[in-house]
Amino acid sequence: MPRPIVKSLQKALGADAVRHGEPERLVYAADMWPRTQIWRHSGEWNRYPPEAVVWPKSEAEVQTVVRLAREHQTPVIPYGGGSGVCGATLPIHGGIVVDMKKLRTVHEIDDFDRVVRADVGILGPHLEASLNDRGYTLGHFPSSIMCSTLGGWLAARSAGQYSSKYGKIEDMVHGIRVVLPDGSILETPNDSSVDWTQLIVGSEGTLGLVTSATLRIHPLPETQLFRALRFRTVEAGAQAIRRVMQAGLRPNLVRLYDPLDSLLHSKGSGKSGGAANSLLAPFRSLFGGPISKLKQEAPSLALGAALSVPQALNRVVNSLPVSSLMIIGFQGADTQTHDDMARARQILESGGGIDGGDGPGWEWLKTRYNVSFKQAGVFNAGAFVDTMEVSCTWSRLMRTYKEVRQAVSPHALIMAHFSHAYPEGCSIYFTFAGFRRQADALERLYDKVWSEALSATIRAGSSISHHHGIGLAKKDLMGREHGAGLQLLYALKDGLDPNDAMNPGKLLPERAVRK
Amino acid sequence: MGTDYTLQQPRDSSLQEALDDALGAGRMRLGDVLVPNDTDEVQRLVQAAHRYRATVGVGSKKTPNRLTVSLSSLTGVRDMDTISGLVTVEAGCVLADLESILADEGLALPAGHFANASDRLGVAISDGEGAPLIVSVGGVLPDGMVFHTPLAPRRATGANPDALLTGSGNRLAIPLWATLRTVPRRSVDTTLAFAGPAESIARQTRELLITDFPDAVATLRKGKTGRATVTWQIYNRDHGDRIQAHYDRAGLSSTPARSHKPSAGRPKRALWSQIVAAMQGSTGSGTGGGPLDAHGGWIRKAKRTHRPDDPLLARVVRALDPQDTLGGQSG
Repeated sequence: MPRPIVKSLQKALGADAVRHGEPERLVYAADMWPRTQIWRHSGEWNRYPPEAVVWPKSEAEVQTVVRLAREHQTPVIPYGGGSGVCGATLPIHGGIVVDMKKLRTVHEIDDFDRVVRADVGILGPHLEASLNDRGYTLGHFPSSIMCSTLGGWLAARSAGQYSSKYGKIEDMVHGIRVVLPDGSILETPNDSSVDWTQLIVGSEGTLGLVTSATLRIHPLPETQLFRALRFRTVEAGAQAIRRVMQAGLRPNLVRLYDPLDSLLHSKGSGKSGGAANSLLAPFRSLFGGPISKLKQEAPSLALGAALSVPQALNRVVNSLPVSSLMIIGFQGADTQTHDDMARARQILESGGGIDGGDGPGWEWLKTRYNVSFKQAGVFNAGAFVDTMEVSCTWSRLMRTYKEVRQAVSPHALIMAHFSHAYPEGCSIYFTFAGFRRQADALERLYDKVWSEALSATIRAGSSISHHHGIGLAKKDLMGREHGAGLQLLYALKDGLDPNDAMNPGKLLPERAVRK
Repeated sequence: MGTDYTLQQPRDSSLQEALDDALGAGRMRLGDVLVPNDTDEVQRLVQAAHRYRATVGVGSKKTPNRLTVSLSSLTGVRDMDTISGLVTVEAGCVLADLESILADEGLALPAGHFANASDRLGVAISDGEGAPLIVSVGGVLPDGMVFHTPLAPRRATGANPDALLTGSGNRLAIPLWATLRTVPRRSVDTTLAFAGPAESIARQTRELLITDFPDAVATLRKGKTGRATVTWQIYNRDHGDRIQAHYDRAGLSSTPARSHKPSAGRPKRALWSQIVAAMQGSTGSGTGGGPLDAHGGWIRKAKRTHRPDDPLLARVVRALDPQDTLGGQSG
């Protein structure tokens, strides 16, 4: 028997726009948070079902949903593509999931201001295709692009693979429209002396529902160049990236893989680690191989056994004579792009980089979205794989890399790459894999790895998230991330959403006593 | 919270006793201005004020019935991270002095993000300036807790608290220090400046930025006569020649390059259409500009206000501190 809120929503939006059947409640009970995969592997498919799912078709309908939910004291959880990896859309307190994907209009592409205004439910490839038709690009290519929306990007401060040139989503956004918890509309930029855009972006639906956004756009590039280089050590490669960024160059792509990640990204015929390549072939399917191979090469018993002794495995990997692979790319106007690449190569080669041609870059381009589709098989095999993206200043980068590796190594296989570089720092993208035969033991191991990794990040003075967000996965660490400054974020929440109706239980740790 | 709390029975029974206890006997009375020796003293002042529901403002003039703290003595550089190109400096530091300190390290602040070089950093932040340069802010909350926002090039850990502190007029916290992005101080080949009718200058600059120099930054300033000046700092002489030729074709004159001081006012990020519209007015009121890029730049919309009239912000202030301990800017 549906609750009164469901009936009210059906009356206001039409029966087709509101569903409360088991299929919908099952599908919307999880996102791509790997922990939910562990639950599902152990047979628990529906830990946090919503009461109903609603698909508004306009901003006015979003306002109606928010007002009705307020009237019925029901939580509201916004939902885009469901590609989040931190559990930010899980209805842990029940409530109404608001799937925004029917708000998908591109309202305007402004040639004079070079901006696009679009609804937030539009999927990444559709938005990019609309811009390409007019000769523009957004420059935002997260690995989840096929299954993520503009709204999801804004909610979690997403970064695309070309962020070193075009910035993260918070750098691209000029303004937003958001339905606040009382049903009113906030449009930014406004005349306030504080920048509300930067306060709503990243709030993961806890302050309101963003309905549309205005974003900066760029002409489609005339030219794309790639170059691969090998560095004797990760440190040397990271130093070289820093010099490139601080020289004022803005590559659209720069990625530096640590030795294990380098092995998994090489084709197996390189000079570095030739024998190791064949040894590590099973891991390639686990971390980086094409989707089609996954079923045949799913973690074998041998792989499981290896992952059961991660400390030894990490030691073996560390002892391999493997260099670090860097891929760098520039795009834009033809002459400028060639000039920039030449300057960058000069800097990189003077920092010890050895030219590896342009092949690895083009190979990366072909497979760059594969990772987002590969979790289920890994988890079905009794292993987990997860990623952690942290943000560091250059002076804290290597300390963070080393401390996190040291903290995780006893518990899981770990590797990393460095990407999303800025003049003042860079993100490190760690990948870890663990194995236990029993699901409950696997979940305990998963929690242990995360706890150790995040604590090490904070000890090293870096930020616990660069672009995945917080959700449920990291919220208990927010106190250590922000210190006493967490009061400011609580005040923001209490000021805008005093009834805690918008995506409750996410982003901020629970308080013993609520104001 | 990452901080250990110790609850103590207060020894004092009045605000004055609390101030004496916190700062030393007779150092501070209601209506006085405290010139603190260090940031700890600011913390102790705010703690005492919070306990006795007194109001603390930031400024330099005595104000009846409130406590005022001057940040003029807090001018130290806390950290110079030349590897990351970041400087952490206390809020009382005058921006012109900071420029001199950075110059000694071969660094500079990117041009045009602050209205007045004579301002102190804390004043500029509370007025909403410098946002693109701020990586982290440290300060004291209304209950006296000292905090700093996470220090990282970008974060995805919720709303950006730096954005809440920049422009909130000291109502949510008193900024005590901030970490700012810097750029290498290079030897500039050429500084080019062009003057002409404001709208025309704006349009020509836009054409150059979106076609030939998408990553360049120019600085625009409109004078009171309806004319404007744009200044380019060029590190490549060939580029300088192309820019010169562009403006020559448009009939806009070169002018001697000089240091420009944009007019004071709240900086507001604007698209090109908004900048051009602002330049169409016949007077210069409220249209002093800042750095420009391919997508627009900064215009100054209004005169300074220390107590922004923003109902949403007011709700956040009430949620943080119902007694409004930090009454904003004093005289």
